[in-house]
Amino acid sequence: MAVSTEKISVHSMADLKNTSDDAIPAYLNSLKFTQSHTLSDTRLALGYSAFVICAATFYWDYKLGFESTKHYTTIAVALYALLNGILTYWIWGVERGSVYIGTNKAGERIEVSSKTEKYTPIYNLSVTTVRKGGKRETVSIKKPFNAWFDKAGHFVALPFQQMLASGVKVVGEADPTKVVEGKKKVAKVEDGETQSMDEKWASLLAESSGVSLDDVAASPAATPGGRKKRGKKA
Amino acid sequence: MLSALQNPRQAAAQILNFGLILSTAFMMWKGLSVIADSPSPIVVVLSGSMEPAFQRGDLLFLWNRNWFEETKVGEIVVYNVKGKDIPIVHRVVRKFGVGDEAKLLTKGDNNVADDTELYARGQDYLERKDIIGSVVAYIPFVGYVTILLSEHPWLKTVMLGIMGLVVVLQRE
Repeated sequence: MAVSTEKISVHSMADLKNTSDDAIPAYLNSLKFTQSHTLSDTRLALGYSAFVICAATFYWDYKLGFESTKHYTTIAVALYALLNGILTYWIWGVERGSVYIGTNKAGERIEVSSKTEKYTPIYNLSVTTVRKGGKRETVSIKKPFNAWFDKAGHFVALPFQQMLASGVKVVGEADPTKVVEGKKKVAKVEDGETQSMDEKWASLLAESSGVSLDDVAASPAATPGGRKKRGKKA
Repeated sequence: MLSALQNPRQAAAQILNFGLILSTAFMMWKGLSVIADSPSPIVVVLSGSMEPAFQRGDLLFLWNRNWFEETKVGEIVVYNVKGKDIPIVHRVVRKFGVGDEAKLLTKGDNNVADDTELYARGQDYLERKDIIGSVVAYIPFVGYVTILLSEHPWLKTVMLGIMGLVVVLQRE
């Protein structure tokens, strides 16, 4: 299981959200989605051109003095205010918490945006996919941060990736091993450092629904004779 | 968190955040400057020559447009002596003539003599164009920070450095 070596403070909402936001492009790009940087590039272009106008104004004023550059300064200030206004609108209205926009090789598009409410440690993801044939679908995923951060503040990649793969069909198709069927349980299985994550899911499912492990779809580690033993352990 | 800076776009965005804070502050200053038509629309009183009206460290707001009437006797004006960069805040005590060519004499309330000795060599009076604004409002004592910063210039670098560090490392 990939556990990050960096620790963050689990009490800091900003850290939790930012680390999770950073993990999404890393994961999706590793699944061979091509990230589209148009949103962030436009924002950078707007911001830096406003900054350049400011720098030019500073330079003229420094070299030529106030009186002679008064009119240029007026125009520059107006332009700067306009660009800043557009930038603010861009961040608030167009970007709107967007974390990742990309397309996969088949030309299907995925747009992920994230949101958190103040003082509530739940990660709200809104994922819009446009599939082949133009079908647009939006999925909303809500999970508490403690599903993929351990107590010390390390980021654990697997449950995070499973959440994405199970919640969004396009991601699940790109990474089928991470798709987990059935109800997700928050309860952790105490024993079983020997059990892999998939085996734990499988055993929990088996107990709750009384189905034999063979019938559970996404459990590659399922073994036929193991059911009774596992039941006793839990 | 620092590893996030390895992504060049993210680093660019962080630097932009810091740069925008600086540039917005500068542009607000310039905007005020252009509206008040003064190269320095906010000045700090540096000496006690206008006591008891203004003390050292007071912040003064200037207006340099004569919309309602000409600069008249009794107004408190700020001017730079020709060739020097120090703003002097004194009161107009005499005016000879009208319009832009009027000759103005100034004197600090707390000074014994008028400003004739302060003017540049050969200059006996001020003209309207020498004045960078008339005082229209003031906040007492707030400007003392500026006096500290100018007397201890290393403070400026320290403040800017701390600000920069805080903004770049924080992503809120």
